[in-house]
Amino acid sequence: MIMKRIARAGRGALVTFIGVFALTACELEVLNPGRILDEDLTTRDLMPILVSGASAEFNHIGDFYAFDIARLTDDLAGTGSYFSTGQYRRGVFDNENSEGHWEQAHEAAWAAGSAWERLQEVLEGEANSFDGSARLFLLMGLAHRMLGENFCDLVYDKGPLQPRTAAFDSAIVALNQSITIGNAAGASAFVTAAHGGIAQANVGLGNWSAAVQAAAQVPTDFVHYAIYHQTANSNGVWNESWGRAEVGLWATPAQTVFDGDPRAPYTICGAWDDPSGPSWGEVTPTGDCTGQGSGAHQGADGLTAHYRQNKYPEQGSDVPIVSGTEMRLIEAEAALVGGDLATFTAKVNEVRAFYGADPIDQPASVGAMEFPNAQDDAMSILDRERYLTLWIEGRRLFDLDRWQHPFLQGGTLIGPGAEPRVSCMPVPEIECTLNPEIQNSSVCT
Amino acid sequence: MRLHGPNRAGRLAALGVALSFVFAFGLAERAAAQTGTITGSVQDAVSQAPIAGAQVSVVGTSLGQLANNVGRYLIINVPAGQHTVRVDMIGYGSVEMEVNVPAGGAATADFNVRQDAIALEGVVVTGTAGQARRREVGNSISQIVAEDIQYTAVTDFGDVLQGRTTGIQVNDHSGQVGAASQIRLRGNNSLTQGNNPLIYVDGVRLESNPIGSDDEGAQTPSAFDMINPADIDRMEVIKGPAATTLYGTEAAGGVIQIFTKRGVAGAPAWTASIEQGMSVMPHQGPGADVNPSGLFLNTCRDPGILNHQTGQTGVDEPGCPERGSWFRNAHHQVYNLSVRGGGETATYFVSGQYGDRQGVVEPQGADNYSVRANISFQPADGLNIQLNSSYGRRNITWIPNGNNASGLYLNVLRGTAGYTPGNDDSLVLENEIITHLDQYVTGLAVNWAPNSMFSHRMNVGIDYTSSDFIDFKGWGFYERHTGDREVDQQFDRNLTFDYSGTFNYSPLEAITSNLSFGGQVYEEFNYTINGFDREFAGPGEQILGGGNLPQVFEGRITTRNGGFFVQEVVGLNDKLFLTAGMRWDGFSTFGEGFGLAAYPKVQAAYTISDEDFFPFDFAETFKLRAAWGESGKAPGAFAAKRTYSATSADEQVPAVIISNLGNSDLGPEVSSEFEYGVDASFLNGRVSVEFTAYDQTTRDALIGVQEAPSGGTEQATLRNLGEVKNWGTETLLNVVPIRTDDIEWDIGINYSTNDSEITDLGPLEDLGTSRTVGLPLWIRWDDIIQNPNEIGALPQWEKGYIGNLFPTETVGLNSRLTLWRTLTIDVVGEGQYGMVRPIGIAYQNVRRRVWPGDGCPAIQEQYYSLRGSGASRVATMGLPAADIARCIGPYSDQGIWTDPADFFKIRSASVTYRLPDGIVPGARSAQIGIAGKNLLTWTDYRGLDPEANDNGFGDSTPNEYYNMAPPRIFILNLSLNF
Repeated sequence: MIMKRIARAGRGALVTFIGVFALTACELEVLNPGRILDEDLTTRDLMPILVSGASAEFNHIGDFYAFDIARLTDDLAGTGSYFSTGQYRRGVFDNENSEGHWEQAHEAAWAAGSAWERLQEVLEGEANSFDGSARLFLLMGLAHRMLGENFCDLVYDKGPLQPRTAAFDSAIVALNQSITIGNAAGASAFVTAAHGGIAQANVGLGNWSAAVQAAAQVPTDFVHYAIYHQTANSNGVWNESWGRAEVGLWATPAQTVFDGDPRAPYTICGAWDDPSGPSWGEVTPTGDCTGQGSGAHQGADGLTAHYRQNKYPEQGSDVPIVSGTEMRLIEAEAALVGGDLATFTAKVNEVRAFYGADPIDQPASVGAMEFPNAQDDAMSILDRERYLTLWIEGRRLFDLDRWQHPFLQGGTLIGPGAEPRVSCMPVPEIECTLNPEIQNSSVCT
Repeated sequence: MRLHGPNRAGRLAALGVALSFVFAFGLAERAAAQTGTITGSVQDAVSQAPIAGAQVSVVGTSLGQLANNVGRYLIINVPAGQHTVRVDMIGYGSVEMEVNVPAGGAATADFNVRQDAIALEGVVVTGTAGQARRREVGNSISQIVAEDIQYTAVTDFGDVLQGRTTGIQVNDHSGQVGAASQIRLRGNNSLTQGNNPLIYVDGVRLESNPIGSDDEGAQTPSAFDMINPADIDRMEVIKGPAATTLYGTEAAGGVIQIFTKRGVAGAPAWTASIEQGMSVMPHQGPGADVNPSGLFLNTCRDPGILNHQTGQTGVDEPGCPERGSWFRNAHHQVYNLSVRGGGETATYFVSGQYGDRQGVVEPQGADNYSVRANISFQPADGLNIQLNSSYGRRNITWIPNGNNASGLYLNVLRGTAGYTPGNDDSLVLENEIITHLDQYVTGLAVNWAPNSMFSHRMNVGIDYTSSDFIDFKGWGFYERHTGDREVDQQFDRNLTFDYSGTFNYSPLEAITSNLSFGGQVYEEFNYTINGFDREFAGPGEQILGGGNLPQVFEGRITTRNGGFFVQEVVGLNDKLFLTAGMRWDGFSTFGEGFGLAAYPKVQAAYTISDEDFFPFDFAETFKLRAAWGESGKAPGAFAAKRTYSATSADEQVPAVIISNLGNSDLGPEVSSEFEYGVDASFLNGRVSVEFTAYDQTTRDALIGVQEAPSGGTEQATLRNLGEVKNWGTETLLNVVPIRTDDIEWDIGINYSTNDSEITDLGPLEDLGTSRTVGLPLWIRWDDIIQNPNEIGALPQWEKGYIGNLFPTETVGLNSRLTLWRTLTIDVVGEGQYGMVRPIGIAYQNVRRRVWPGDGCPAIQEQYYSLRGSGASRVATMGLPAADIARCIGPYSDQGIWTDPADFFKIRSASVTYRLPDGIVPGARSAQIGIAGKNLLTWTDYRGLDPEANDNGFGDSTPNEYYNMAPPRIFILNLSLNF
C-alpha cells in the first residue's frame, strides 16, 4: 500500500523534477546584442574600426599626459580640490601616481600592435599597403616616444628594466615602418607625422643630426593631433579648466613672465581684490567667463582666482602631438648645441613668425637655463620658446629633465616646494608587483 | 386475511425504510450526543490584539481550525471528553490547554500567546527545503514579526531591520527621503562581487542592486523600499553560507525573506491608519559655541551670530531661504488601508498605501502609493494556491548634494569658497533631479500535499522594476549655461521559478526521514537607456533631442541561473536531526570550461532539553546546533569572455577597443561557513538566549588581475584567485523582568562581532587602497602623520592602515514596556563600533579655511598672518605638527581627518495607547501612537553623521563628503480596526 502511494505521488514529483532539471540545463548564455566578441572581428570591412580603436586608445593618453604634466611642471598651476592638487604642485609624483600613465601608454602601443596582427591575418599582403597600417605604426611609435620622454626607466613585455632610451629606439623602429607602409599607401600625412616622431625620439637619444634630418621632412605649418570630440572623447584639459576650475594660469610663467604671448592665451575669470596673494573671499568675478563652461571665477580650491587657459577653448579641441613649429625648435636647439646662434635665431624667428610674434635679435651668448627665465641668452630663449610652443601639450617634463632645469629645485608656486621636484615618472608599483623580472630591481625596492 | 405479495413487499420495504431511517437517525443522534465543539479566541498576551491565522488543533486528532480575522475559532465534531488543545503561530510560543468537551455541548478555550523568538515548534521556510520546524534546523535563523514593525518608527524598509536582532547591519546613508539604506549580514565576504543580501518577497526574488542612478544627489534608491512595511507579516533572515546553501550561487551574502500578510476566513476585517509626522534637522557640525550657524545650514541669515568664516558677527548668505535656514520642518503623511477575510476555500488580503514625505531641504521629498492583493485558495484537501501581487510607485525629488560641484552642501558649507556666482547657493536648487520608480511583483505559490508522505512547493514569480531618472539643468543655469539634461531609464525583470518536493517516511517509530529535492531557475534581464543632451536653444523644448549634443547609450543583458538540489533530514526521537544536502548550479556567467558549481551542506540540531537525562529543570528549551555549508557569488556578465567595446574615436568615427580579455575557466567564488550555537529558554520563557559563532572562508574569490602592464593591455581579467576569512559571534538575550496582569516588560540585548581578513589576492598585494592582504576587508588606507607631537615642524606622512570601514561590533538594545495591556512604550537603540570614516567636509573645508572646529580658525589666522615660506611660518608658530596637519590647508591630509565612527543611536522610540473599546464608534479596536526616529546620537565623530555616506547603498568604501545627515523624525499615528 505504501509503495503504491509512493509510486503515485512520486510520479508527479518525478515529472516536475525532470522538468526543473531540463530547465536548469537549458540555454545559459549571457544575452546581450551590444557586446562585441572576439570572433566578430574577422571581416575586411571591420579593419578600419580596429584602426580607429587604436586611435581612441592613443587619444586617451594625449590629454591625460597634457593635464598631469601641466600640473607637475609650470605649464599650469593646480587650483583644485583633487587630492593630487597639492602634491603635484609640490612636484611630488610617486609610483602609485604613475600607474595610469604607464598602463595607458603601454596599452596604446599594444592596441596598435594587436590591430596590426589582425590586419595581417585578415588582409594578408594588402596590410603592407593599407593606410590604416601606417597609422597603426604611427600611433605605436608615438606611444613609445611618450613613454621614453616621461618615464625614468622602461620595461617591455614583462621583461627586465631598461633605460628610457629603449623607448626611443622602439619608437623609431615603429615610425620607420609607418613611413614605409605610408609611402606604399600614399598616406602622406602619416608619413610626415612619423618623420616628426622620429625627430622627437632622436632628441630623446641626443642624436641631433638624425633629429634634424627627420625634422626637415616636416613643414612648419604641419600638425598631427590627438583628436577629441565634445561628446565622443572630450579634451581633459578643457574639462578641468573650463568645465571645472582645477587648473589655472595664475602665478605660472605664462602669466607672470610671458604674459601676452599668443601661444599661451588665457582669460581672467576672477580678479584678486588684493593681487598680492590668495585669501578667501577676495576674488571678484570679472564676468568674462559667465556662460562659458562652468563659468567659475575661482579655482575649485575656493581660494585662487581662476585664470583660464584658452589654448583648448572647446571640449573637442585637439592636442598637438607632432608639429612643424616644434621641428623648427629642434633644429634651433641642434644649432645651439653646435654653437650656431645665427641658425638658432633664424629657426626661432620662423616659429615666432608662424604664431604672429615679433622676431628676436640674435642673442649674444649661449648662456644657461635660469629660473625665473631672464630671457637674456640663447638657452633662456630656447626654454621660453619651447615652453610657449609646446604649452600644455605634455612635453615640458622631459625638457625640464634633459636640461636639468633649475625649476626642479623647488619651483615658484604657492606653498612649500619639495626639493628636488620630479622630472620623470617612476615605474609604477603595479609593474613591480606583477613583473618578477624587476621585483628586486632598484626601482621596486 | 391474505396479504398480497406486492403489497406485502411494499409494506416490508416501507417498514424497512422506516426502520432504517429511525435506526440511522437514532445512530446519528447518538453520535451527536457523543461529540461537542471547542470554541474560543486567540490573542496576544501583551497587547490583547487578535492573532488571526493562528493554528488551533486538538492534539492526537486531525481536528483543527485557523483563528479567523478577529482571532476567533470553532472546532466541531470533537469527541466528548478530555482533550488537549494547542495553538501554534509563527513567531509565538506554542500554548496548550486542557478542555473537557461535553457531549452535545461546547467547551471554551481562550488563548493568550506570547512572542517567542526561539519557539522550537515554529515553522520556518527560508534556507530549508519546504518547511521545517525550528527544532530541525541546524543554522541560526532570525525572525522579525509584524508587531515589531508596528511599534517601530518606520519610514522605509531598512528601519524594520535596525537594531532588532543579531548579525544585521543597516545604515542610513543620507537624510534625503528615498535614499536607500545599506544592509549587510555578517559583514562582507566578497572582494569584488558586492555584499548585498538576496531579498525574497513571498518566494519571489527582488532586484538587490541599486535601481537607477543619482550621481547628482549621491544617493541611490532601492527596490526594497518599495515594499510597504505595513504589509509585512514576518521576515526570516539567514545570514551565511551555512544556511543559504540551497539558494546556491549569489546567496553568499545571506538571504532575507519577507512574508506579507494574507487573508483569514471570516467577515471582512478592515484596518486603517493615518500617520502625520515631521522631520527636523538638529544642529550640524562642530558645537554651537564656535559654529552657531551650523555650518551655515541651520542658520544662513542672522545678523547677531558669529560667522565662522569671517570671524565677524553676522551671517547673511546670499540665496538663503526667507526662513533664515536651509532646513524646514518637513511634513510627512502616510495613509494605509487594508482588508482581509474570506471563506473556507478562499481568503484575501488587500491593502493600499499613500505616502508623502517632505525632505528637510525644499524641494526634496518623495511620494508613493502601493497596492497589494494576496489571494489564497484551498480547492482540495492538501492543496493551497496563493497568488500574491503588488504594485508600487515612488516619485523622489532629490537635491544635488555630495561630491558634486553644483551640490547644495558643498557650496553652502564652503561659504564664499564655494562655486556659485555671488555665493548664491540657491542657484543649485534649480537643478531638477527626479526619480520615478515603479515596481510590480507577482508570485504564484502552490503547496500540495497529496498525502501525508509527499509534499510539493512551487513558486513562480516576477519582479519588474523600472526607474526613470531625470537630471536637468535648464537653459540659463549658472553652470553649463546652455543647459544639460540626462535621462536614465532602467528596467529590471527578475523571474523566479522554484520547486521543491519532500518525501516524509518513518521506517521506525523513532526515526523520521525527509528527503527533499528540487530546483530553481532565476533569470535577470537588465535593460538600460541612458540619454544625454546639451546646448539647448533656449527656453522651450529642453528634452533629449532638443539640444545640440544628444547622445544615447543602450544596454540589454540577460543572465540566467539554474540549479537543483537534494537534501535528506533524518530525525531521531524528534530530538536529534541530521541534515545533508547538495546544490548544483549552472550560471550563464561561468566560463565555458567551468561546468557546474557544487555547494554541499551538513547540519545537526539536538534539542537536548527533551532528553530525560537533561539535568536543568529551569531550562525548558535547550537546543544545540551546528551547520556547515557553502554558497557562492557569480562573476558578472561577460567576465568570462573576451569582448570589445564599441566606442567613438577621433571625430566620432566608429571604433572598437578591448574591453575584457576573458577567462574561460571562470567560476563562482565559493564561501564556506561553519557555524554553531545554542538556543535556550529558561524560567517559563522569561529568559531566552541565542548564541552563534561562525567562521567563513571565501575561496576562489573573484579578483581582477592584469598582466604586468608592460605586457600590453591594462585590462584586468577576473580570476578565481583570492581568499577572504570572515568570522564573528552573535548573542541575543531576551529577558522579561516583569510579567504581571498589568505590566509586561521585555528587554532584548543583542551583541554581534564581525571581523575579516584578506588572506590571498593571488599575485597582488592589494586591490586599491581599501583591500590589502593581511588586513580586514574594506579598510581605510591613507596618510598617517608620523610626528604629531613635534613642535614647529612640518607634518611628515606615511601611508598605512587607519581602520576598518565596517563595524566590528554592533549592539542592539530593545525595551518594550506594556502597562495595563493598553499602553506600550518601545525603544530600540543600536550601537556600531570599530569602524572609521573619512570626514571629507572637514578636510575640504580646512583647505578653504571654512572649518570652525578643532581650533582651526585661530591656527589659520596665525599662519596666514605670517610671511615667509611655509616651513618658516610653521616653525614660528611653535605648534605640534598634528595641529598644522589638521588646520593648515597645504599641509592637511584626509588621513588626519579620518575619525573613529563609533556611535550609539536611539533608532526608534514609541508610545502607543490602545483606546478603550467603543470609544471609536464602529471600530473593534483603535490605537494612537507617537514615535520618533534618530532621537539621540552618542558619538565622538566630528563630521555631520557617522553613517552619512557619499556613495549610496551598494558601496563598500563609505566616506562622508557633503552628505545630508539623517534628521530626527517624529510620527503621530492613529490606527483603527473595524
